[in-house]
Amino acid sequence: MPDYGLVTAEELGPTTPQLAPLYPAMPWVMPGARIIKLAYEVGTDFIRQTLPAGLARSTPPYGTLVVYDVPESPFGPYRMAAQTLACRYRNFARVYVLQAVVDNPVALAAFREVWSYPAAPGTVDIADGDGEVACVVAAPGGAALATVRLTEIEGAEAERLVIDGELTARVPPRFSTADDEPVRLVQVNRAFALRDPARARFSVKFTSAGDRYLWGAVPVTNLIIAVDTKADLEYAPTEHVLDYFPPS
Amino acid sequence: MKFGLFFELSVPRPLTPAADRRMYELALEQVKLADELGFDQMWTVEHHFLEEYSHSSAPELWLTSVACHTKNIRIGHGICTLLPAYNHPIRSAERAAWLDIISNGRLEFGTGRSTTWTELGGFGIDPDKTKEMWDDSLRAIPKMWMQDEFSWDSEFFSCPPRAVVPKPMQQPHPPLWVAVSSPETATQAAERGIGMLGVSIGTPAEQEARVREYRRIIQNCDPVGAFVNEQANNLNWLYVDEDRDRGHRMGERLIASFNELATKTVGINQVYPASAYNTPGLLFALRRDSMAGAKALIKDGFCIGTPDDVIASLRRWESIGCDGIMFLINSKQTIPQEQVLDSLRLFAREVMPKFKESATVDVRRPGIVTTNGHGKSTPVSVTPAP
Repeated sequence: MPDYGLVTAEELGPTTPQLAPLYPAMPWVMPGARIIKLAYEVGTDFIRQTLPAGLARSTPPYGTLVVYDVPESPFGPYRMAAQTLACRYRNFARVYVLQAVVDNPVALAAFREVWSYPAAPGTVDIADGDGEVACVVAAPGGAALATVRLTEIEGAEAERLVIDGELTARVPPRFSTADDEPVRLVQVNRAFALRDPARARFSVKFTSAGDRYLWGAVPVTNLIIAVDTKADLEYAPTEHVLDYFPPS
Repeated sequence: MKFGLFFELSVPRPLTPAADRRMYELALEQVKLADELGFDQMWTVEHHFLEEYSHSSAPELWLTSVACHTKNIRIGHGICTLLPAYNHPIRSAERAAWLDIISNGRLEFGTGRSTTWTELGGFGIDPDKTKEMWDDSLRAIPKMWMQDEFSWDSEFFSCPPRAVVPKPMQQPHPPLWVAVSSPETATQAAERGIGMLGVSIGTPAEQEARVREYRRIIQNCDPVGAFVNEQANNLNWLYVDEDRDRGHRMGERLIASFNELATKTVGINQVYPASAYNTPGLLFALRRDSMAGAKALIKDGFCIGTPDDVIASLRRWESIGCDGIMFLINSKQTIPQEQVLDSLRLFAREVMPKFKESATVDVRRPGIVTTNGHGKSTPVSVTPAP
């Protein structure tokens, strides 16, 4: 009889390598984060060509740029910026994460592995000025992907703020056999406690860098509003893995 | 209790002029039948840019057509949006007066403001200001109808002394209402002495406190018009069938179709943290319901099922003090027209008589029907009708 190893699948830990996992098991608690969210309308043709087939656009189509400044997390401090497109799965309002950059390699791996987050290496700089906030999202090497400026900043009510639930497309590796796992949609499972929110007018300019950072592809047609808020974040194990096409 | 139809004027894709014409013909056939069957009211929304969900962007034109094709049914703006960028208040007053004349005094003037970014963003309106804009126009319009010479000077519009003509047929003016989807707006309706046009589709248990509070506050109101219009309407679904299972299947299709359309819109709260919009709104409730499965779509108080089921539901609404029920009878033409018309006929034959026995005609304003229970229109100063 073979002398099998003793480690069960459940004992492998949250990720491999088994002896030195990059990140701990969830929940991931991230107190004292800052979230800046810009909401803007986007072109109808673009969103139609970009959303997965199981997701419907809103009327009007809109998207968000969400910047996370996280001083404390299981991966250490990190900053992330994500471009999303608003969508409906059945009757639920969600955002589909189109692309993101993260400045921390462990966070990058964790978000990609756990949430199928379409994250790539990059940087996020935030500068608080006199009544203004400036933010630059950049690809490695410094090419700007998003240049943001918040102005006319004023207080807002936390209970009026909506940070949309995120969906990503989980595309499993293809095998040479016919036993492919189906593409699924994954809902990022996170909770927020928001405090000290503000809202602001804003400007944003998206530009692409090479063929892997196509941030300039998003056609912004009308600006809505920005919010800038403190938040305690908590990510929990996945609850919703959704069929690519919703049930009829 | 009064019964009315409520029209969103939704259109299934593909969206073509022919599809809009088809929707118009179907809706007109429904309202003409409702008029013949003795329904009291019909109401129509005002929405802009809400493709599929509602193509009622010029309700005054549709209502004018209804007025020309019907005899008795009251013609309701449900609502006319009182935001100057949509409708200059003087134009609203002029068009409403004309509609009252064309309909021979059958207008119900429902008012409100938008709750979607889709619409407010399209017109470039500051969401923080919509409540104030609505209130400003609401207070001005009755004066335009009643004063020989009107003038106004506010943050939102001004007008030197002018004669706003014509004056409405109903004197001193048509009944005023506001669309209500939050407790706060119900209170504001009561404070202003205007009707509560409940447009959130809830259960009697959810609405009971709101109606009770409305009744309490309106007793000491400061009316914006010449009289107090103390009436509480509520929105509901209607599909009546002798076969309960078939009725429920059709009702579920109706609700699911409406919910799917409604959730495509973008509520203000979804994208814009505005203090003037302090409830999550209808969309969140619809989303919650959509996950509960089809059977859970039909809730307590919904007018779906057999005639006896619907009578029982309406008794529940009557018991909480509701004066009128406005029915959504189709969405995106998901129910075939003949079945919609059959449902209306069955309702008129089997249900309506149970609630009409105590109705009386208010002779002060021809066409107004008040029940002996709750609703009443209390004149403050009434001039003789022409």
